[in-house]
Amino acid sequence: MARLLVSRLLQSLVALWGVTVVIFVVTRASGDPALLLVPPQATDDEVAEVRKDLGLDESYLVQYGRFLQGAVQLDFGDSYRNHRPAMDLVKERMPATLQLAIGAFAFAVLVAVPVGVLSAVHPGGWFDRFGKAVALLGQAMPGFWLGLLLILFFSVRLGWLPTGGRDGPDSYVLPIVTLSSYLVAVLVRLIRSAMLEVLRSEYVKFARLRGLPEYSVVMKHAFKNAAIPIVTVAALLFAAFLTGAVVTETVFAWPGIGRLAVASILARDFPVVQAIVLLSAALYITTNFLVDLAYLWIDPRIRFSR
Amino acid sequence: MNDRENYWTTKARGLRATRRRFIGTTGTFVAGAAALASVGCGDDDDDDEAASPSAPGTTGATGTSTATTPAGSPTSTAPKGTIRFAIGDQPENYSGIRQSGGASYFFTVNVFEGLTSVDAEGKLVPAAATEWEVAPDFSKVSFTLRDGMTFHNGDPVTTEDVIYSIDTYRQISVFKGNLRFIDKMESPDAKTVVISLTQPDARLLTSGIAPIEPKKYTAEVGDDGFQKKPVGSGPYKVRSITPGEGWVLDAHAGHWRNPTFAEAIYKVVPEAQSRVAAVQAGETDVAYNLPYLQGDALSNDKNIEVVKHNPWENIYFNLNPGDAKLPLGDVRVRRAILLSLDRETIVKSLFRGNAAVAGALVQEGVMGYDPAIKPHTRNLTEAKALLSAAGFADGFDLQVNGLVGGRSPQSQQVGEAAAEMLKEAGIRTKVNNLEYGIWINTVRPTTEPVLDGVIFQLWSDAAPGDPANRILGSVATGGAYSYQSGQLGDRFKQIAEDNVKLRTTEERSDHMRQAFKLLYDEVPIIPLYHPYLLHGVRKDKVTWKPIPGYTYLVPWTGRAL
Repeated sequence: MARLLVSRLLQSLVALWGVTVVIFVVTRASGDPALLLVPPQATDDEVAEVRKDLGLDESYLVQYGRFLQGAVQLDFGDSYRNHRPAMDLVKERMPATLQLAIGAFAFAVLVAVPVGVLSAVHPGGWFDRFGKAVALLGQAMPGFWLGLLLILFFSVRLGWLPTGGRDGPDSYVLPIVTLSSYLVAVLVRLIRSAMLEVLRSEYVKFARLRGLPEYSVVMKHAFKNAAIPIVTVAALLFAAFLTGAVVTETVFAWPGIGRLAVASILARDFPVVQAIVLLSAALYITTNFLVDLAYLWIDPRIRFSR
Repeated sequence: MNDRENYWTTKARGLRATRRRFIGTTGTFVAGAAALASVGCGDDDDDDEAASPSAPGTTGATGTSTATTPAGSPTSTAPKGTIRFAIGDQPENYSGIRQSGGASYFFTVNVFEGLTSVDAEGKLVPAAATEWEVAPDFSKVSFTLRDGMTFHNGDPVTTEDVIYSIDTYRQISVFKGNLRFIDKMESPDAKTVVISLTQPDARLLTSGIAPIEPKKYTAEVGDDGFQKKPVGSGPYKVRSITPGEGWVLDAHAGHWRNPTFAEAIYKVVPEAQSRVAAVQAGETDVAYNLPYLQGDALSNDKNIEVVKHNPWENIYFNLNPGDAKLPLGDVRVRRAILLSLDRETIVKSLFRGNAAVAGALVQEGVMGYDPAIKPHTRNLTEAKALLSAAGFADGFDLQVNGLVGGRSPQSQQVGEAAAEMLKEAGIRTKVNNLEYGIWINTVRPTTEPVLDGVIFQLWSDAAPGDPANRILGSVATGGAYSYQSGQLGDRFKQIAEDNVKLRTTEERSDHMRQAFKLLYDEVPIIPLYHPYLLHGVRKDKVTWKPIPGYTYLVPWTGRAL
């Protein structure tokens, strides 16, 4: 067990180092940020001066060394555009992203688990057909389109909810529904198919023969065993939410990491892009690590096979 | 947002603003001042308006050029109500000196001001300075600071603050090139700042010089502290800033602009369709830069006025006349390209009429505008004849480099439409759409890749409309975006360099006309059109209008209903 954990930890560190190399190379390959910072009338000398001020006139090796040295201390340097520490900008946006991600994840789980389970328990019934429709719509509708439709109906036509912003509980409703729609769809389909398979297994039949209550058969015996693929997908989508839901944040003027990332990429604001990408990678890797740990808890066979 | 409840719940109060005093200027800029007054006043009973001072930009008997403006009017009405703006991007910086343009201007033009500024018509007016005097040899400009001017924290604006701000700007601003000819600054008395120049440069006045920031406060709080709580001397002071969401401003009592709204709320709504929804739902009073397709639909809403805003932007095709593979060095070929393009159709179809066909690439209000110069109309017969005369009766291969992304509306479609039009003239055209990062390298002759063919280009003559930098940058020899060299490029350079040595706006405007006549005749670049911005305004709550040549939205051009 300990060996497994140490091995996974080392793999994570190597993956993170790989991300630092990729993000450093990719940002530099995207072009010269100095050209985006200077006004149109700037002379070549003035462009060169800006490049020097940003440290972009140094060799790539020196720049990478400085980036790596700062990254281990969570210091990614000052934003080229804001002239403030990149980490400060990320920290400012993180609460909004966290709130949206947690809200959307919780909403998705609350909707998808009962719909998925009930669909599997009554296959072919009206609830199953409803579940399939929810799943199809959720996966087929782009978040951008769904978000605008919700705004037009609930904000413009009915005037019940605000069109955007992060201003009180009612402003969370539409972004959460929009962001979670895809996860709801994925989870409903996944839970339904996993549950259908488990419910057909011998041990579930045996549990029923033992006269256990149906709720206990479904939730304690079947659902727990169907949970492994569900946990994997849900966790990775949650990590994606945490690293910014660009479309939802843009449509609903939500001040999260996703919008900051897009603005920084367009402006070639290397320090901010590097901070966001590296933190996102760290979140993904950490989530994967936690999912591995969850497997051990959910499925004793994994524990004992090691 | 600390004042979030204001954003969502505050309605423009049903108070009809009474007329307010305009603290204006006269002479060359009196038209602009009057316009500002009319915006602010609503009615026209201006018989008790402040007395007119001497005209800015005019040459006096002593050979000095002066500009003056009166002090604040004691009869001005108190600011009332709230205006809520939904804009597309957030400022990257909250310091006037440190900003690098873009959305930061939405913030800084309200919170800070320089020695000069613009009025509601986009014309140059005195701001922190009430008057200036240009020495006969243009070696010095003396500015007299406005009486009783204060920063938002109550500290007086002093000459020391002005000199500190200009000096800091010269050192760290990305726009410091505008002040490259400043030699030294001194303050002979508590009201005067004298700027000595290494050579005459009229752009000093049209650039606004530098936003003034308080030296003492900045030293106390540091750069980071200043970003969190910026203090300026502009018409609005900061109440709160919420990164990524927006900011709330309060009127700066006693400011010479006489801010009309007591409160201005700016909210960042990046998606244009969401801004449309916000103004339809009544959550915002002014929605910035709406999609052209939405213009007609919103016009049908009885509560919304769709306002057309001319930011004095110039869209053209740049070209490399020195490209040995292409015949673009021949003026007949350049004119043939121009005459092949049906720019009226581009404006009508792609912009739904929300643009103007460009003539000499200068608009009314900008220095050098000549109403006698009319845009060329499409003439395929003449275009083919010109190509034939130039030895290209069978046409030639040309690449049209378009720009993709949202930097300029319809840019990709314009490139593709232009390519089809050129084909009709026999020019075998291939479209190459460039992402912004590649495009910005290609438009500069000194960076890779080198321009092959023609490329979509844009350049704005920001208010107060001084095109000297554009001439120098886009068509003069050695310009940052100019592929021109040789005799033609040298002529443009000479005209622009001579022009900035002239002391008055009238002189400069007359002189600048020769540059645009030359541009019209020699077609060193291919003028296309001037696009407009569309804003949705809740006419049931506010009256408001944008400033020509000023992409940024300010509260003081409107009032609450």
